[in-house]
This record gives sequence, structure tokens and C-alpha cells, in this order.
Amino acid sequence: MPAGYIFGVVGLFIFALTALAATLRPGGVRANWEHGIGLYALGLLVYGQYGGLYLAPPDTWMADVARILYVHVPAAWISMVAFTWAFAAAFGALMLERPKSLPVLSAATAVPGIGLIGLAMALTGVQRGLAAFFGILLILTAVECALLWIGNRFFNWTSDTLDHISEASTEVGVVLGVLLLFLGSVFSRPTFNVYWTWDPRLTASAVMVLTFVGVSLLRSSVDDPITRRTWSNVATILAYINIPVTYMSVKWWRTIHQLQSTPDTLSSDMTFWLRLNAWAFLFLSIWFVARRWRIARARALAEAPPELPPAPEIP
Amino acid sequence: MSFTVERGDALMLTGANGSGKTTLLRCLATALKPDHGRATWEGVDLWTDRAACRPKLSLYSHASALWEDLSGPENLRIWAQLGGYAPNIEARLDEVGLELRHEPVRTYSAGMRRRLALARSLLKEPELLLLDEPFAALDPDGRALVVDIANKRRASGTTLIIATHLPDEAAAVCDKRIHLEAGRAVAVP
Amino acid sequence: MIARIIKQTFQVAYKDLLIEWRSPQRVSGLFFFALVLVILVAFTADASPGVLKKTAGGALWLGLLLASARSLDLSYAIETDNDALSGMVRWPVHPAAMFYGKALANTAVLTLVGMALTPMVVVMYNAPVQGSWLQLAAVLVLGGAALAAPGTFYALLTTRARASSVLLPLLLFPLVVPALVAASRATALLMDGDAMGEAGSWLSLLLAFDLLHWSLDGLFFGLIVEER
Repeated sequence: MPAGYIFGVVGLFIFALTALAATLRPGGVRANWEHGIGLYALGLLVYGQYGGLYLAPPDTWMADVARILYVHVPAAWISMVAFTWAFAAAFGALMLERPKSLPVLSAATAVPGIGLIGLAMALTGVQRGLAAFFGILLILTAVECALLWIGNRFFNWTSDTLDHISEASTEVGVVLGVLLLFLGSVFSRPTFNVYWTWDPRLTASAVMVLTFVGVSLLRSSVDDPITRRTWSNVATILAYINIPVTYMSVKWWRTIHQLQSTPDTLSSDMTFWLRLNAWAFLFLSIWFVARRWRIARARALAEAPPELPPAPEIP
Repeated sequence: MSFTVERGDALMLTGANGSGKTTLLRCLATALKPDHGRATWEGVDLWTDRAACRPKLSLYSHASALWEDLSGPENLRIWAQLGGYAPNIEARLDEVGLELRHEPVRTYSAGMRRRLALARSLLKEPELLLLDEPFAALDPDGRALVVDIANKRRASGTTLIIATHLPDEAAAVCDKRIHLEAGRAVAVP
Repeated sequence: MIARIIKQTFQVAYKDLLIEWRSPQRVSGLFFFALVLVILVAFTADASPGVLKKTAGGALWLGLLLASARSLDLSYAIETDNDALSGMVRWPVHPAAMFYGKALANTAVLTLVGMALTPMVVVMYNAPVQGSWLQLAAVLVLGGAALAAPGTFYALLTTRARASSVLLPLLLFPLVVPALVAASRATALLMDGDAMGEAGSWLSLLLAFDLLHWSLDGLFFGLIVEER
């Protein structure tokens, strides 16, 4: 196991433990259980940033300027992760309005998914990639439907819970996305001598962030809670599915430069700090999402119509 | 509140502005999802089985559902086609006392629009006809016409629910009455 | 069931187009709005012929995109004036028929405006079409469809939301970036002769975008058209 993953495992362990303890605690869910992962994330972030700034070796090409990657790249990865949460939660929120269809859909996607993965084994080249991609997509759908079914059946998950998670994740994704774009521009100036490069990834990210800003605004422009839930979830799904198409179009449109910032081109020391910071960002955004989810839930409770008193006799 | 209407009944809903008449009618017309409670038509839940119920009910309200740039006959023809209902436009127009005119609805007077909207809601020949303020914006002739049409439908087995501020007019059609106050059924004052 | 949906689709499209036919000032207004935008883009660009020529495809599609936001708003204004939309839901008209009918009509209007606008752009930007006219027509149809499908979808959301006039462009424009890029690149290439035969791949991207949105948006329309 490469070093760096251990920090992730520890973080996930803390998260699972606090969540479980909060859920199983006699006398109801304990408030603010998410602070455990938050504190861990903050510690990791301080350590990771210190390491990125002082301990990691300078980059062969860009020297100390490259140290911005320890924020820029995690922000890019984790904003994408947050939008994926938003998408998965939006899909879940729509599906939980029809919980009876969950087992059916799970089975209906699992079978062809496994079939496609099997097909991918037999194929080569582009066809293999396509088969594997759609196979994995179908299996993920099946897994999510199964999870949703279990959550709905045994843990009282509702459409609202997931809608609030989607709302929270969208906003966290937008914040990270704005950070990513800002830092991309800061990095771009000394490296390419321009504030903005029309690099496919940067441009597609900008479009993606704007799309989700639109979704967020849609959410705040609808008054009725149930209408708002349906509309913003549908808009989230469409915005997310549009990302690969946008990326393709922008990539074809212009490919000025390719700066691979995946770990392959970096030294193993740099990879370590990059991973560490990515974990820190991941746990930080889990914390943010949990906090924002609380706000969304509190607001929904405040909005809920009061219980009606029993009706009187009909004259 | 809770009430039952038998097939062929005519029920009058009265009550002050904001007492919930329109909301109730919109719930029955499957235009609104009821926050609480349920409504059924012959044992079928109106909202959850709305696909099955919608062809059987028709709501006539202040929202005329007419396209302003098309003429009256065109409006009726398109609505009839969309639902797969028999058009016989001239008979429909004649029934509500309108002439065959080819000017766009934009140029119609308020009363003419109301008549045309009534003709539209009758295209379906619904089993349950919901009339929200059917006498508003109509001249005495028009009101008599509405009473006449409602009575004819009732005689042929249509169930009617009429929300109105004019109980005297509606009394010529309805034999039951529910008075609403702040969303609750109360005794007729 | 399917036959009925298809029938209703064409009835809805016919109805929308009939309304456009009865009030032609709407389509002509749209055309002149797009034309003004095309001229304004020329003012903001460098006036030298080489640059103008390169901008032509982009100007055409930018004009069409901005005009489409207005046109989509109007296409729902006729439905919401007297609440005909909710009347159709309860009639009942199948949501898929409503979506595809309106999207077809919007595609027709946008394609028509695009076809009228193209000669203007060709003349004003001095960008004669050196590639295939047939391909250009395909770009106009597929591009119009690519703006119409998500547009028909989001315009419904925004007509019912608060602050709708700001919201529609904000939701729609980032989403149609692929369509805008593909259509304007393909148009520019076709005006430039398309020596490398690249217009075909842009057309296929446009087609992929169309397939994605014409299928998904139609699927989701039923969820959003029903008032609660």
C-alpha cells in the first residue's frame, strides 16, 4: 500500500465510527457528530500544506511555483467528487419518491452491467473501454439503488435527506470549483504568462462551475419545497451528465497545452503530499457537506406546514 | 372535512374569498396534490391514479386555458384533437351561445371568453364537471345559459360540483350545499 | 399508447406553429433581434476582413442563442397566459408529447431564423460558404434542435420560478456550450471551405448532444410539468 493511503483509511474509519456511534446512540442521534472528521481534516490540511510548502521537493520545471498544485489539484479532484455526490444524491432523491421501483431497477441494471463487464474482458481497444465504462456505470447504478433501498427500508432515508445532501454538495462543489479556477489562473500567470489559458480542463471546469451555480440559483428561486426538490434534482442530473460532453467539445475546440498533473509525472515525494492534501480536502468537504446539510434540514423543518388539528364534525 | 357525492348529484360549495373553495376544486381536478387527506372517484384515488381519472373530469375556472392568438373554433378544434374527442365545433359554440367567429380570442370580450372556456371544458363530456365561479363575468342571459347547461348535464348523469358566491343561481342546479370557512365545512349561515 | 403520444406530439407542434403563423411578428422580431446581435458582434470585433470572416460562424450562433432565450420565453408565455399548460396536463396530454411537440416547434422556428440569418452573415461578414450547403443546412437543423431541447426544458422551469428572466440564460447557456462550440466551429469551417473535412466530426458531436438531450429532457419533462 503506497504511503498516503493510510491517512485516507484512518479518516474513513473516523467518519464511519462517528456516524455509526451517532446513529446507534440510545436516545436519538447525537448532534454535531461530524466535527470528528472535521477536526481530523483540519489537522491533515495543516500537515499537508506545511509538507507541500516546505518538505516536498521543488518541481524540476517550475520550481516553487508548482507548490500551488497542492491546493489546485485537490480542489479540482474534490470539486468533481462533490458534484458526483450531488448527482448521486439527486438521483437518489428522485428514486426515493418511488421506493418500490428500487429493487427492480437495481436488478435491471446489475444484470446488463455484469454482462458488459464480461464483454469488456473479451474485447480490445476502444470497444473494450466503452463496454467497461457503461458496464461500470450500470453496476454503480445498481449498487446505488440497492443502497437506497436498504437506507429507505431500515434507516428511514427519505427523498428530503438526499435532496439536502445534494443541495449541500452542489454548494461545496461550487466553492471548491471557484477555488480551482482562481488558483488555475494564479498558476497560469508565471507558467504560461497569461492569467487564463483556454486549456480544455480549465475551460470545461469553468463551464461546469457555472452550470452548478445555475442549479443553486434555481434552488433558491422556487418557493414550494416539493417542486424545488424535484426541479433542482432534475437540473443537477442534467448538469452532471453534460460535463463529459462539455469536456469533449472544449477539448476538440482547442488543445493549446497539456500539463499532466496526475501523479505519474511527479516524483513520489510530491505524489505523497498531493495525496495527503487530496485526503484533507475530501474530509474537509465531507465536513462542509454535513454542516450545510444541517442548515438545509433546519430550514426545511422551519418551512414545513404545521400539523392540522383534527377536523370538526360536518354540519 | 369529508363528503361524498353520488353520481348525478349536484353539490354547491359556498364560502367567503379565501375559504378554500378553489383549492378544494383544484384538488378534485388533480391540478393540486392534496397536502393532507385523499379524494377518490368510484374507489380510485384521484391523485395517485390521476392518469386514469383525468379523462373523466373537467374543471371550468377563471383560467380559461385558451390560446389568445387562435380563434375560438380553432381553440376548440385543437383541444378536441388533443383529447381525441368529437369536435362538432358549431354545435358546441351554439350550446354556449357563441357565433362561429374567426377572430383571435385576444379580441373577445370577457363574457365571450367565459363562454368559450365553458365550451372547452364540455368537450370532454366529463363524468365529473367542476365549475369554479361559473356565473362570474356573465350577463343574466349567460347565467341562465350556464344553469341550463348544468341542468342538462345533470339530467344525463354528469356529477356537478359548483363553487360560487351566488347561491341563488346555483340553487337552480344544486340540491346539496357545503359552506366553507377557512378550509372547514361549517353550517350554512 | 405510443401512437397516441406521437399523435399528440404532432398536434402540440402544429398548435405552436399555427400560433407562430398567426402572429408572424414574433418570428420576424426574433430574426431582427438576432440580426442586430450579429451586427453588434461585428462592431466589437476587429473590422479587418480576415478577422470578420473568422468570427462569422460564432456571430451567427451567438445571435441565434440569445434570440432563442427570448423565443423560448415566448413559447411558454402563450401557454401560461390563460394557464393552457396546466389545462393540457389535465386534459390529459402526455408530458412527452408536450415536450417533443414544443421542442419540435421551437426547433423549426430556430432553424428558420438561422436559415434566414445565414445569408445576412455571409454578406455582412464577407464569408462566402465554400463548403457544402447541405452540411450547413444539417448544422442549422441539428444546432437548432440542440438549442431547442434543453431550452424547452429549462424555459418551463424558469417561467414558474422567481427571477426567471435571469435564470433561464444562467441555466441554459453553460449547458449548451458543447452545442454552441460544435455548431459555430462547423459553420466557420464550412464557410472556410473545410479543407481538412473536419465539419463532419463537429456534426457528430452536435448529433450526440442532440441525442442526449432529446432523450433525457423528454424523460424528465413529466417530472417537472406536473404542478403539485
